[in-house]
Amino acid sequence: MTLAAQDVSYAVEGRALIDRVTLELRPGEFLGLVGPNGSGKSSLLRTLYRVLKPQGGVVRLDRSDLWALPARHAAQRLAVVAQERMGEFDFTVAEIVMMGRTPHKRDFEPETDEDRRIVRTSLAEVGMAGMAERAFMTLSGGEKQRVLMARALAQGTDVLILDEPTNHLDIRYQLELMGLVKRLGLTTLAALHDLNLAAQYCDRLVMLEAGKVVAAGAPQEVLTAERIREVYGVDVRIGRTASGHIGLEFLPL
Amino acid sequence: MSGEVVGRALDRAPAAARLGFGAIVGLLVAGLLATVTAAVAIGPVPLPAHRVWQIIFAQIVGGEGDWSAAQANIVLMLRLPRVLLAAMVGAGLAAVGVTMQAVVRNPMADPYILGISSGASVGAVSVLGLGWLAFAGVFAVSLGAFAGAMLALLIVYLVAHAGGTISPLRLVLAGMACSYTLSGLTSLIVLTSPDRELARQAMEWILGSLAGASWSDLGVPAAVLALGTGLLLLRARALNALMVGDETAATLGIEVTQVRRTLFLLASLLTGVMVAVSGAIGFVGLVIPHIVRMLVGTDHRRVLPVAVLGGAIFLIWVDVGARMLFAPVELPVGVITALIGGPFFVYMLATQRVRRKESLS
Repeated sequence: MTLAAQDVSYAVEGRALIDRVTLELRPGEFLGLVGPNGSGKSSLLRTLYRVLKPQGGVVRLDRSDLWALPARHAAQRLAVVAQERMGEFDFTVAEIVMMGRTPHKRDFEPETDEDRRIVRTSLAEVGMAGMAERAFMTLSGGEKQRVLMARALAQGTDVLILDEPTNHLDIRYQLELMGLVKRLGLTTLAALHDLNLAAQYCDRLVMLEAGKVVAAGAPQEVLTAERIREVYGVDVRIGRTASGHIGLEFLPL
Repeated sequence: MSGEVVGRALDRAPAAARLGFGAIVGLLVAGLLATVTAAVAIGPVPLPAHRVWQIIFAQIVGGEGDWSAAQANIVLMLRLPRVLLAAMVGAGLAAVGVTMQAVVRNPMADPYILGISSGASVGAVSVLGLGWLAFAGVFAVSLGAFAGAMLALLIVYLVAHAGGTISPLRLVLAGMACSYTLSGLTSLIVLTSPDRELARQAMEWILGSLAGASWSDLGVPAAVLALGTGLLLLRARALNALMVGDETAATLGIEVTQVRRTLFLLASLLTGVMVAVSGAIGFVGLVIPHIVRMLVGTDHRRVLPVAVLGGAIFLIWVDVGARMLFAPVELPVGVITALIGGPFFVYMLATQRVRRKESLS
């Protein structure tokens, strides 16, 4: 199952947030979306998870027009960890993760043992196994992020969209989360801030600047010194890490 | 290994929650029956509890007993319809309060936050002061209140519904603006009326009262309450998701705008009907949902039924207070809800904070 954007555009008051963006997720790949602040990463993701309706172009989930699908059907195939400030409420961790089962449930259909098993394994996947009965509000930012990741996993979809999933996470959990995404082998699109992390874990990268795709391809093709200088306005030295990935050292211009 | 730990926690939790929840509902149903019995028994002419049920039973299956016609009259014509109306209004307002707090994602929301009560007040005061809807006889005030409530609903809906979506913030702001305007209109009608009695009548109506309830007042609220709470319960999972956030709800497969529109209309209809029969009884819809969440958590599949039962019990007792505390003078029930509800809520907040601290340390 793949997700694809064709010529997707979205503008606010005449200013283009995303401008004719075309990209396609290949089955099973981990695609990183990179670009400086304001380049349109989050806006693009929002058009892909049905919050911003594209003004031009089309988003496809397999062969269907994503925006023509009923919300429930879309949610059965596409899970999202968004950056949303959450309201004040006292849900437990288990209740939050159980919400991931919502698209699979009819109104008032009770939860089954299977649902509870899925919630359990999802929590265990993100290393939050012992926290099921904790109040979500009392968790640290990083713990909350991992719970939301568990909720997305509990949704049981083939496609995963993550908006800055490693924000607020300590380095250990950043690595664990990226490793988890990689290990799950789901078709994943993630907006990422950290270019080194992106280079280390993603199969391919798409770079945005001012709402346009400026590069797409393998990390070493996209992350060139010249392009980073142009797009990010910094100097960079590019080498190889011990594990064989490209490593970036940033310097002011 | 850690999987086993969470396994145990999860296996235990739903079982415990279900047992706890079942026990709470069972207790509340028993409590509601006891409350109805006690509230019918209590009055200027006290009756023993068994007599109350004998009279009701005899009325249903037929038969005679060793009680006077006056006693039967007190139970069947005076107290029972009033107690049942209190139960329905309390249940309805609590259910709407729960819904509104989730729909606008604001713990301060109550059934009146969207201007429904102000609209109803304008309608009622217009009938009282300007003599509109005289054809409706004794139902004129209720009819006027309902019409006013629906007018407010329409205005708020049109203002809040911009660009194909309804945002919680726009709903609240539109509701507030509508509220202020309509309250001003109510004051204007009352103050410019030559009828001096109107101010007192309007005041009583605005504060809310269940006095004079009769069987003919019960049909519409009963039907709307059953239908409304049933539909709300069906949307309980959506309410949970909405409470977390619109984007989250959307990605979980909820048609956010459509669901919010449905919930808004449903809640407004329920509120409109309740306000029409009893005036704008405050505080029930704000406080009961919070107390219920403290007891059973935030999941609306538990919160809604418990709030419906709790709201019913609460308002029955408050109404008993309204007719007994200063007897033979009767207070508007809204005065008591505020006087009891406020301090009780402060107490709940204070103890809740202590408990939270303890559990964290």
